[in-house]
Amino acid sequence: MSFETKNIRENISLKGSTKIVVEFFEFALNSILFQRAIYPPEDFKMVKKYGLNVLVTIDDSLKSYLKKLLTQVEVWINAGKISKLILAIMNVENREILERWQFDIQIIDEENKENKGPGGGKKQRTDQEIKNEIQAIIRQITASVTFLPVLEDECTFNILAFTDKDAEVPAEWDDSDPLIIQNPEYVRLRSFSTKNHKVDAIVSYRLGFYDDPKR
Amino acid sequence: MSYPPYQRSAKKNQSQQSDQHNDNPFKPTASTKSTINFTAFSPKNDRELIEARTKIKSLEISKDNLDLKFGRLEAENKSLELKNRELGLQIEGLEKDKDFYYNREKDALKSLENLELENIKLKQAAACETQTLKDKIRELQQNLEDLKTENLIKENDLTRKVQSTELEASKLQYQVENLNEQIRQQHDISASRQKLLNETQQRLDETQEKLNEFNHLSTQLDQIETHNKKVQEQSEHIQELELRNRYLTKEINRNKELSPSIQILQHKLERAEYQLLNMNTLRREAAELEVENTTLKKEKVSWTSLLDQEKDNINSNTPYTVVKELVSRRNEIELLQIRTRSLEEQVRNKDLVIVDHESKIKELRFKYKAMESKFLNEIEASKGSKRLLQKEVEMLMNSLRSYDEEEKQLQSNFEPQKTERIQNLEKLLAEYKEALEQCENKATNIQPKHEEYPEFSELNLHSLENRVIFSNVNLFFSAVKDLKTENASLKEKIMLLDNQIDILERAVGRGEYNKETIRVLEMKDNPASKEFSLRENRLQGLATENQDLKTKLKELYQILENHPTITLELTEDNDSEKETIRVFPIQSYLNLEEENKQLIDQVADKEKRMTRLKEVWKAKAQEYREAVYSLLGYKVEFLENGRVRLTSMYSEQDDHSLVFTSDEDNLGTMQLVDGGNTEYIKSLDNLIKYWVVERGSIPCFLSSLTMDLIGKTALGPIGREMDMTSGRISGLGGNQEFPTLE
Repeated sequence: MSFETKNIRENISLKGSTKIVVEFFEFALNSILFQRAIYPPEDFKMVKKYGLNVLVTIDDSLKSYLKKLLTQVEVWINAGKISKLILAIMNVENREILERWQFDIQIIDEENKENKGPGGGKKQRTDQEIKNEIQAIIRQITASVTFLPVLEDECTFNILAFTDKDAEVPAEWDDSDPLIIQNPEYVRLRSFSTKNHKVDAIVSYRLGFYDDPKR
Repeated sequence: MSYPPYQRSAKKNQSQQSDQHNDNPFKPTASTKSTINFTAFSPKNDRELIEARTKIKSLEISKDNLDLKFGRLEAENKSLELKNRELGLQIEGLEKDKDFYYNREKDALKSLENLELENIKLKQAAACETQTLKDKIRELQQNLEDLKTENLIKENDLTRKVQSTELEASKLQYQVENLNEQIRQQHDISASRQKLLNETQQRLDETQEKLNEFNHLSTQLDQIETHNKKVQEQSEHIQELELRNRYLTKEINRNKELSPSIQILQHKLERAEYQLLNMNTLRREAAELEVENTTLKKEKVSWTSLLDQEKDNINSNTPYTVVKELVSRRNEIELLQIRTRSLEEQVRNKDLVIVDHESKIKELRFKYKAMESKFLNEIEASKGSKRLLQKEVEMLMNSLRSYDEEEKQLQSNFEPQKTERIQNLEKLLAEYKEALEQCENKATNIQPKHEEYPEFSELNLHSLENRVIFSNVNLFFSAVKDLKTENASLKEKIMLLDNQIDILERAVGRGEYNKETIRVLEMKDNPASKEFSLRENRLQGLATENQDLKTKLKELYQILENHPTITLELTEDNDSEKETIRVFPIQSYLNLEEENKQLIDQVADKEKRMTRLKEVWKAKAQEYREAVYSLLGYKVEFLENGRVRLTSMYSEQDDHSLVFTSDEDNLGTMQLVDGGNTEYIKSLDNLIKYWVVERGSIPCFLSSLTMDLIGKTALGPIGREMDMTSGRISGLGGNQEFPTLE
């Protein structure tokens, strides 16, 4: 195998992997927004994906926002410049961060067997295995409603991208606060890994019981 | 269940064609009309004309009849052709069947042949297998023999090993005995040397004492001499003093007489007394010295006698030679002491060696016990094999006997092969006997040899091997220790790393990140910023409005204070009302405008939601009707005034429908009121009477109707398709639109 063809193949596999990761983000973010009732349920339609019925938004503004965001995320993943994608849910009234869905993106370096995360050096995964792993995360997101505190007040959300300092940043993007929750409870969700990437998911949330002065 | 409409249309076309065809015989064709030429006949008279006409008519009738016949014949011909086709098809089918059966027969024959071949093969295989099995049996027998020989060889080897080990044990025992003897000799030598050493030590001590005494005496002799001198001097001095005393006394007497002063004399007396006192002490000292002198003289005498005695040992009586001798003896003593130390060290080393040997002996004893048990087991096993061999011998003897008997019986048929066989068997027997004897000998040899050396046969292993083993064991122990320590350190490391992982995981859970290398980005136009900017704008607007209102209020207060009459005018006058409007700040108007915009947006949002809900409702209603249509077989249309029209999926025509309406009480129950076609409803009178009127069950009526319709359409295409997207049903009678639920 010549060096060029090898490079082309790696590039193809990287793009495929990035596509899988970005697609997962799309469905995961939609699921979270539906499950946490950030948007009303009638703004979502049911779609079959990963062997599940996944809810996807039909709200045009949200769709365009997510599309813009994920295209840029795809660029960053391809360049290997993004390490985290965070969906923060906050109270509209007092801007308090209530939930923080964190997706850690790790790049697996197959060539040197030294990965940036723990998923490297393993045998290549089949599409079905990846699908099953993603399915498990989506199921966990759906099931997370059972343990997460109920969002009683009106809430909004913001999505943050943790990139490297040298990453190219378009004009539509700007620096932001990391939107960290003080003394959070957190639950580690399942992870999935492709040939080139590993995605870990964590949801951290504020336990209102301890901080609420009314109680 | 839905069937394609083209089947129905085909049937219809067929029927239309057949109708057209059926119409033909009754209609005169244009060709027939054109063939009759009336102008060809020229009537001579009326009769002939009439006859001709009648003939023509009869001919026409006959022609018509012939046409009819022709038509019938054609129809018959067609039917016959159809029959012929059917028969042809049947023939074809039969031929196909024939071919099929012929092929099957061929296949069966082939399979039979194959089976026969397989059978032959199997037979051959079985024969081969039997042959191979026989070969195997032979091989196994040969193996058995080989194993026996191997067993014998092993036994021999074992006996050799036992003998060699025994020899080694005896050698080792001899070595141990030699070592013990050497140790004893060493002990004896060391004891004798110890004795010698003690004696020399005693002598040395004695000589040392003597030397000390001698030294002391020599010093004392010097002292005595000095004392003697002193004593002599003292005695001389005493004598002088006595002389002087005498002289002085004489002088005193003389002076007493001469000197007048008594005091001086007294002083002199005192001095003389003091001198006398000194004299007394001197006398005492002299006495003591005399005593000492006598003792020293005695010692001297004894020393001189001793020195006379030691003249043989000490060459000269000079102190130098004595001292030399003393030094040489001291050196000897030191050398002896060094030797004793070295001997003691040797003894200790020997003790250590003895301890090592004892431990080795213990280990060897243990090994010997293990070997003994092993040998005993082997002996038992050999005994068992002996028994088995005896049994085999018996069996072989029996077989020999049987062969002999056979031989006797079949002397006429005696073959040379049998003789060979018998000879072989006899050889085998002899071999077995030999083997048995060897086993017995071995068994008998092994036991006494073990009994000969019960106490010291443990040294049956090479010392070198033992050392190697011990060194290996030590190495292993050290390696195990190292590994244990390493394991402990690694465990500690793991603990530390686990703690670190826990800490890091908590940090990750808190959302911590490296601020130096990572940049946090957000889209400028994000939902949160939109919400917050909206609220901020509103807040700012309200704040400015509040500010403006405050300023206006202050201004108004000022105006009111300056012009108290204006207040009434402001409230009553229209012009003044304009002023009051001006009183409100522009910001409040802007705020209201903003609020209005927001409300408009909200309304738009609500409308959007309404449309979405309607879409959802429409989709769900469509889903519901689809389910009802596919499950119950009726298309449901909701008409005005709460009426419902049902059309079966098996209905032949579109207007074959039933209309229901709710009861007068409007309690949710339905009643049949009409149908799409009155004739169709009339055809269902019996069903309606039986089910709806008599039994009052619309579902049963609908079910029986469905069953009737499906019975009618059993031979033809079944069902009709429901176009769920447009709300149309496509069937035999074309499409019919029905209103959708919106």
